[in-house]
Amino acid sequence: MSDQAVKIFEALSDVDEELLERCNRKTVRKNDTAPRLFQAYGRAIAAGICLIVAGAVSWGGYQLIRGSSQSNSSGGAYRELADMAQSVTVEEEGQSDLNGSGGLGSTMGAGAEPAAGMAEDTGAATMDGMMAAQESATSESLRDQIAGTPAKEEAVQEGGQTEADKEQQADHYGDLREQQAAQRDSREEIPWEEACATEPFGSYLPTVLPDAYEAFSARRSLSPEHWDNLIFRWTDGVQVLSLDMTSGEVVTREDLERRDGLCEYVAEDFSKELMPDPPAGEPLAFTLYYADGMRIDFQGHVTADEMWAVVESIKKQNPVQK
Amino acid sequence: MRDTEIMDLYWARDERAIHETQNSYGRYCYCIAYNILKDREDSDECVNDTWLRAWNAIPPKRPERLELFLGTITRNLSFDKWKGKHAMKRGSGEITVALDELVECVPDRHNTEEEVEAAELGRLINVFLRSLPERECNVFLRRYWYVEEYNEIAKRYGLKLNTVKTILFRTRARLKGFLEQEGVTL
Repeated sequence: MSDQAVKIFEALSDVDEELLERCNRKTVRKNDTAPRLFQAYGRAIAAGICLIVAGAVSWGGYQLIRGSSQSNSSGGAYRELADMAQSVTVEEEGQSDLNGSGGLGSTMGAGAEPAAGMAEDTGAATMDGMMAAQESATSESLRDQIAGTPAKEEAVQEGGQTEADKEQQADHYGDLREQQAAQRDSREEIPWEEACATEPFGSYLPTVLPDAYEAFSARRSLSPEHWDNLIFRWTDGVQVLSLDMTSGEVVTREDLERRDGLCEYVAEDFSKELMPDPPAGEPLAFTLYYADGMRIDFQGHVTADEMWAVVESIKKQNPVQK
Repeated sequence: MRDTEIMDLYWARDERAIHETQNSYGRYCYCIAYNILKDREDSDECVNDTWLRAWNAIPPKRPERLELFLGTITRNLSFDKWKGKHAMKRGSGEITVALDELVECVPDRHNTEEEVEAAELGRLINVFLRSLPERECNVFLRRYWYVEEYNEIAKRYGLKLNTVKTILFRTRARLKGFLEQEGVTL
């Protein structure tokens, strides 16, 4: 405690009443709202949900029956919708060839997606009318164009997703899987001594560990252009304490404030007071960013005191970095 | 009884004013005093002194928010008592911890030359608090005006304990930066 702190404390006596009043207001806690609502209106809410579910089921059944009967006669509403969307796209592409005014293209605006969205809201009769208008407005050449793309029409799936879309999506997921696999494969277990000698990680090794903890494993993952990561693990035979170190990302106090990240601190700001309180059974975990771009994720089933000793010993190892 | 009715009693110099004030704000003022003093007797004494101060101040004063007017008196009285008791020895309790934390807001002396008056400091702190998001401001005031413990604040606002700690830590750092920027020396 200092006189300066006393001055600030006393100066706070002059704080605007409006601010004080605001902080006195009872706040609605998000967590409490739902249980209270259910307590008060539980039966009404349950009844409402039942009605909605019943309505949805019956409407779905009705649509199914209607859809199947239409599909027998005219290929189904969705087929019509897909045809129309396809036609509109083609129409817009070849707009210079079209002479018919008031065609579907001018009514619908742009592209197949709006057409699909609009058609969802319109009934089958309206759809038929629009299709008729489309028929009269399109030229022979356009019909030929449409007729010339049967494969594409067939490719339209139930979700409005084409085979091409699906292939693209599959490629994307495939790429992601490959990237993850590459990262996983590149994470190799290396001898403990080698890990300890690897800079800049070696200088961040703690000199103090919780009782009975011993070196367990070290795994390194290095991608020269993207990341350099080394995970040190210690164990007491039951629990594991890990320090996941990644170098190369300088994160400032301002960066952390901007993203409002919890349990992430600039190392020199970190104090024992800020040590998180994990729920029972959960490991103590937090992240520190050091000034030279080292990021360390601390995690372990250890006490706050034990973890603090680890953090402090790293600080002593790196007095410049704090 | 409404605040206006209690005020009327004060203005009429009716002693029921104190009784009604005790009924309406006794618990509120006691909590403020107890958070600072952590002592039942001392807290009771401060609350009673608050009624006396209010009796002497009204009239001529007619505070717009009686609750905050009384709370401020209680806070000041309690803090004075705490300072008196701890002038010689460092005490324990939440106020000590709160003051220790506030040391972090004190700007480095070498950065400024002039000493700013207490009123100016109060004004600047108001400016700073108004610049904060509502949640941060509320948490800061619950901690350093009401001297509430972290877990009480977390409960009040439905926040995690660690969130409260982080908010306070960052707000103190911001206040320090703000005071330094304003050239405040203490």
